[in-house]
Amino acid sequence: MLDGERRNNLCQREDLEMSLKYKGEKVLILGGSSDIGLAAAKELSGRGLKVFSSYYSNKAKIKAGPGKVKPVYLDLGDVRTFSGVKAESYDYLVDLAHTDRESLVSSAADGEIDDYFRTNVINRTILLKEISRKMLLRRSGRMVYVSSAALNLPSEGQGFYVSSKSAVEGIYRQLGLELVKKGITTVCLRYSFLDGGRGKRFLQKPYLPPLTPEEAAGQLAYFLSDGSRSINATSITIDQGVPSYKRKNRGRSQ
Amino acid sequence: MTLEKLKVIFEEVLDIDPATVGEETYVIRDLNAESIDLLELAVHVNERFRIAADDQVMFLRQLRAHSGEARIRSRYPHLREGREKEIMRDLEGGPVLKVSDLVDYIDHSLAARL
Repeated sequence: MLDGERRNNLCQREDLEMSLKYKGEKVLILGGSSDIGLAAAKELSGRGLKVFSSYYSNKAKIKAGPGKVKPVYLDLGDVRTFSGVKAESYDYLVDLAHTDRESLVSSAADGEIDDYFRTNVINRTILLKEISRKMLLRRSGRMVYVSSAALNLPSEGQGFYVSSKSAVEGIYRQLGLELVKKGITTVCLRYSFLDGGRGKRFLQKPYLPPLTPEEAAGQLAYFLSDGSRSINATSITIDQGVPSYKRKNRGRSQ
Repeated sequence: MTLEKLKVIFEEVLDIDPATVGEETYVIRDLNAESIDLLELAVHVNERFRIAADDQVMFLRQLRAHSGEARIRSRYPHLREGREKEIMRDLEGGPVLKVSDLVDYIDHSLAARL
C-alpha cells in the first residue's frame, strides 16, 4: 500500500508526463495562431523543439504567446506567400490550418466553392509537396494533420468542410504510404469535443469534459514523437466515443 | 564532374557501390530503382545542382506517348545526338533510362541557367 504522501507525489503531473523523444529539431505549425496552435507551440518548444508557426492575420498573437516561436507569414489562399515557409526545412509538421465555411452545398456561390477548395486542398497539397521533398533529403519526417470527427458523421452545412478535410486526409495518408520507405510518416487525428477554435461551437454534452487546447497539444506532442511513427498513413478518431450520442440526438439541436 | 556527383547520389539513394555505376548503366533495369527512389534522386539533383528538375522530362516519363524519333527529340531536347534512335530500338527491352540521360539532362539545365 502506498501511503498518502507517496500517492500524492505519484499523481503530480511531472511524474505522469511521458518521456517523448524527437530525433529532429524543427517543427512547423500551420495555423499557429489558433488556440491549439498556440498551445502546441508552447508544448513543443518546452520539449526542446525549434518551433515555426504560420500566421495569416495574427502575428501579434503568436509573438505574445508562450514559448519561443518564430512566426512565418502564410496565406494558404495564395501560393506566392509560401516562400517564407519554404525557406526552411522541417523535421515535423503539425497542420491545423483550415478556412471557415459553413453553408449548405446548394447555396454556396460558385466563386466561393472554387476559392475554398483551392485554398484548403489544392494549395495545401502544393505546400505539402515542397515540405515532404525537403524531408526526403534527410530521410526523416513526421506530419500530423488535425482533422475532424465530423468526417465520421457530418452535420448539415458541413459539406465543404468535411469533403475538403477528407481530401486532405487522403493526401496525408498517401504521403505516409509512399514515403514511409524513406523515413517519412503521417497520421490524421479526427478530433471532436475540443474546447478551442471552431470546435467550441459544437460542444454538445460530451461524456467527459471537453478536451482543452493544452490537452490536445500534449496528444499532438505524442503523435509527433519518434515513438509514434509506426502509426502511419491512417486516421484516428479522438471523440470520447461519442458518435453514438450524436447519432441518437441527430436533429434535436438544429 | 556531373557523373561523379551523380554517383554519390546513387550511392546514398540506392545504397550501392558507386563503382558499379557508369554512363551506360540503366537506372531501372540495372539498378532496380523504384518510383520512390527516382523521387529521392530528383530531390537530391535539385538540391545539389541547384536546378529545378522536371521529373517527367528528366526520367523520360511518358516516353511511349512521345514515341517516334522527332517527337522524342522535341520532348527531350537534352538527349545526346543519336540517342533517340537508340531509344526507339531499345523500347521493347524495358525502361530505357540510362545514367547518361540524367547526366545530359543536368548539363543541359545548367547550361540553360547561364
